[in-house]
Amino acid sequence: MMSYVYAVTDRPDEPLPQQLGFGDEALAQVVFRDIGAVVSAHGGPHVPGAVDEVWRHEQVVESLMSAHAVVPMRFGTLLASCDEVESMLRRGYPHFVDDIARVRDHVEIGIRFLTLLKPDAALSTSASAHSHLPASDGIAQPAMAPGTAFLRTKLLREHERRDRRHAELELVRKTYRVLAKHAAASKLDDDSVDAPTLSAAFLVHRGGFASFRQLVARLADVDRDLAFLCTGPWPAYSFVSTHLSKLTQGTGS
Amino acid sequence: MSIPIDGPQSGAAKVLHAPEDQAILDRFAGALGETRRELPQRIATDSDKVERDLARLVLSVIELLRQLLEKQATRRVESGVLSAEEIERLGLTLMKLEARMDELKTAFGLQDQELRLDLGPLRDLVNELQC
Amino acid sequence: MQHRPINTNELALSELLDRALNKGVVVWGDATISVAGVDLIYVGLKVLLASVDTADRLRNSVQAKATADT
Repeated sequence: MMSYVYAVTDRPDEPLPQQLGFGDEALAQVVFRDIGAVVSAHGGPHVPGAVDEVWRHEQVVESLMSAHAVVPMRFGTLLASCDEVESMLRRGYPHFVDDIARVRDHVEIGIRFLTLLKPDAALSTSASAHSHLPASDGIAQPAMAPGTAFLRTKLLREHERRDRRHAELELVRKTYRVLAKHAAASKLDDDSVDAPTLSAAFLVHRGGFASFRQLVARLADVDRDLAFLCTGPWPAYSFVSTHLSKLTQGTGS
Repeated sequence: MSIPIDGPQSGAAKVLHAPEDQAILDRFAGALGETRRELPQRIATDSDKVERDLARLVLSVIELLRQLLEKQATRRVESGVLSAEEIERLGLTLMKLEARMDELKTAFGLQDQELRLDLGPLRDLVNELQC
Repeated sequence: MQHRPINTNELALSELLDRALNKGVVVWGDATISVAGVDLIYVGLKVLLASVDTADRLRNSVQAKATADT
């Protein structure tokens, strides 16, 4: 029997909630010192990747949050046996302790930003750098060979995308900084040039949840250039370091 | 204080703020829809679907390659190391490649959004290739 | 593009997936721990690895051809 791991928590002496796991299996704990992994028995090396299972995983994690500080595992964290689970706890003990302390009494709030910039707004600088392309001012351009024109167009589009993403980031950063001041920790994903949205995550104390939510609503109302999609409260997925792929690396130190 | 849980039936409680404009909501959904496709599907048993899924996988890989090639080419053009003839030859080849890709997509009834791969651990490797 | 009204359930689900799936697929020792269908994805990754190689070779041969003709 394999062990599906939902989360690692503090206070492993606390009785587990009535919540059931995958396949309506009962929850159990694997304890190591003062931390515990919440698991359920699992038949094979496959986890069905259906919507219901993902929400069930989430339900289990959240059901623990009233009585524990909860370090959520990613969906699909499946270990060969309880021994392996204990081994994971032992190897990752200092990281788990760190994560537990960070997330205790905190929840994660996510915000996705969509910029409502007019397409021209970001492009004033890049347009002038590409004067060889057909201009909208009606000035005739010398004929360009097709292959070359193809590549130049690609180049221009790439620059436009980059400039646009830069402008979007600047716009989002202002709002992000305001919100970050009201959070214990925050992250802004500024990696991908091509993604249509930008996303941020905030670690907020339970007590401050309501006022943070109101702040988001106020900022969203006022902002004409950004659309907000705010979700939560989530377990602190984005603020823990202990995902299994990291724990399996390196020596057992 | 416990976190309110709405289980499989309704995740709507998790949305704390959303735009009222349906068009903007659609854009969010479109962007997030790309994550949905990465959720592994059950293996298809219907043979038509298997063929289509296989085509999607293969074309996704080819599409990734094609985009890598294009990025390499534009980088090379930008750096000014290519002659006019080289640029023209490169451009014509990539133009044909793009046209061929469009034909294949049409033949299999696949859209651009369906051909995006989540590279996971390979993302860094691919980014390196693009430099 | 979708034209029907967007379900807030779907938005919430997508946000959850974004969190819960991130780095969630794990290889543990010799046993491949998999989410249903992930075998397909690993096949995909293997194919991709070969393709990244091919991309490299293709790129080099484009480059070689370009310089050879000068």
